[in-house]
Amino acid sequence: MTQTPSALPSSDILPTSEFQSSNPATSGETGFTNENASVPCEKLPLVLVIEAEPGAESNQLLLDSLAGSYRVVSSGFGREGRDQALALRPDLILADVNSERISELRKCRELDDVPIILMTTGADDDLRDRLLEEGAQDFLAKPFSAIELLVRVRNLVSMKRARDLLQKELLTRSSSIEALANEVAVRKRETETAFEEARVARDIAEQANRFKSNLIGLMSHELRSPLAALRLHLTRLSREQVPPPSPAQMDVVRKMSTSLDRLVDLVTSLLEYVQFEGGRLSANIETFDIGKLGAGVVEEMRAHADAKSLTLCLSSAIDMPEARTDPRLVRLILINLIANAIKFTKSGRIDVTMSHGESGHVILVRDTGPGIPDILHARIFEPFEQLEPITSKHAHGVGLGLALVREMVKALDGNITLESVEGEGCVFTVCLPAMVAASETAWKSEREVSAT
Amino acid sequence: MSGVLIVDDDEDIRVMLADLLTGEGYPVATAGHGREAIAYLRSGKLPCIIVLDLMMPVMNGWEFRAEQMKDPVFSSVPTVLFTGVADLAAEAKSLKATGYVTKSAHYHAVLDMVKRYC
Repeated sequence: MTQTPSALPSSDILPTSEFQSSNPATSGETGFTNENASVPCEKLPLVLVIEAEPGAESNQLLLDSLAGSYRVVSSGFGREGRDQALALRPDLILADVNSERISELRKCRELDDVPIILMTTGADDDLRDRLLEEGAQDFLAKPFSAIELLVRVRNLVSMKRARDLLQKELLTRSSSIEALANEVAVRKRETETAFEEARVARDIAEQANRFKSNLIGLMSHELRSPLAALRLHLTRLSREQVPPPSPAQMDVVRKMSTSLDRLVDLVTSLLEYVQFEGGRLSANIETFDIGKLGAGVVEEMRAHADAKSLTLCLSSAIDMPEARTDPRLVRLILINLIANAIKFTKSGRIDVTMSHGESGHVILVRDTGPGIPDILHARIFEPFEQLEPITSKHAHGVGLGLALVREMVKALDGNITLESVEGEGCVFTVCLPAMVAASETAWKSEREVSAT
Repeated sequence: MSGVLIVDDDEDIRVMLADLLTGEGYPVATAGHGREAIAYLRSGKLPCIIVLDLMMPVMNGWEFRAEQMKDPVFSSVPTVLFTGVADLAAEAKSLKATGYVTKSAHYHAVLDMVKRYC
């Protein structure tokens, strides 16, 4: 490679100061400002000049005019010029066409983005067209002025720099998009894994639930058979004629029957709770006289209230409209609430009030029992929840009654609330909408006896 | 008066229920499982009601119902489930039973059913 007299070896950066003295851009002759004046020398755009005789006097003056704004490196033609271009990756190649065919440069894909300005003598239009077709971006016909050279160089360098910037930005964006896509893929895999884990966990839970339901169902069934036998034996005993049981024996039979009733209730409650837990509770909708149903239940429960010397009263609106809901569930709700009130009330009364409002039927069961502290109002509807610690409890049962009631009320699209002041009794209010969805199917209670 | 057929594998229940119903004046026959009950029906003695348990050996209550329903005469006999299985109402519905009584219910519940059909 041949150096220009004022240039450093081509592999180095030319010191800007060497060119500034002769740079027309700063001399005031051209009216051009040096747009790169404040740019550090090593950041100035690099222009590679390929010519037959590097440093020839004919080009040197013109090339000097670039010096303040550009780093200029001069190279010989042919392979040397191409190698130099590949090594330096200039921002622009200024080629003297008489000495260099640009097709050699354009064969190198690495130089595709480097603009080329051709400098030719004469105005051979055919040659110019051909060279432009071969890949030159611009054309300077000698003689040309320093201003023309500067303008053309500046334009092409600006375009290249802008394109480089855009490409860099595009690459950054592409890599951002790629990173984002990778992130999405990772998240997708994580989500799929989580879904799979959730599915497995759900299967295990369902399996455990089925096992539990089957186990308790089987136990309940196995418990019921001996209970049924026991009941039949007691019935048989109480009806014995020869000889008839003595009053003392009848008292024992009655006490055994009472204990048996409790045991049956317990087994029944447990079995029903298992059914609720399995999500199998649904309503069987009918239109019926809810006032009559309430009166019947209260009469049924009166014997239990009498046994504890409690007053049991029913107040019912005279114009109670018929209800359209599940009579069996309503009956069970009432029985459970009244039984619960009787169980926990030592003295006083239990009032059942039935009314009707715009939103449906309202059933109130009020007692004069011990009441429930505020803090326990929510817990009292949870299964196996009773106020007394297990070690000191004296009320029978396992605390399923109110949990069952809540589930039954829920199945009827209703709601149940509790108002209570400790020491002053409780008021349970059940609101039942006039209609529930007709799509629900039959409720399966075993508490009842039924002819289908 | 045609009698009551009690189908139950639990001898205690079978004997005690038969004893009580006999005391009420109803003729009673018993079977320990479904196959015995089918044999009884095929012997030409049609009961006025069948009190049927479901969980039994040899031929359970579901299989018995399937056999019973194949014969138009046998299927016309009112059949009440008297059992402790879960979902009794649903079972009664799917087996097209005349009625059902949970096994731990009071004796009068069974008696009411018998009175209704005999």
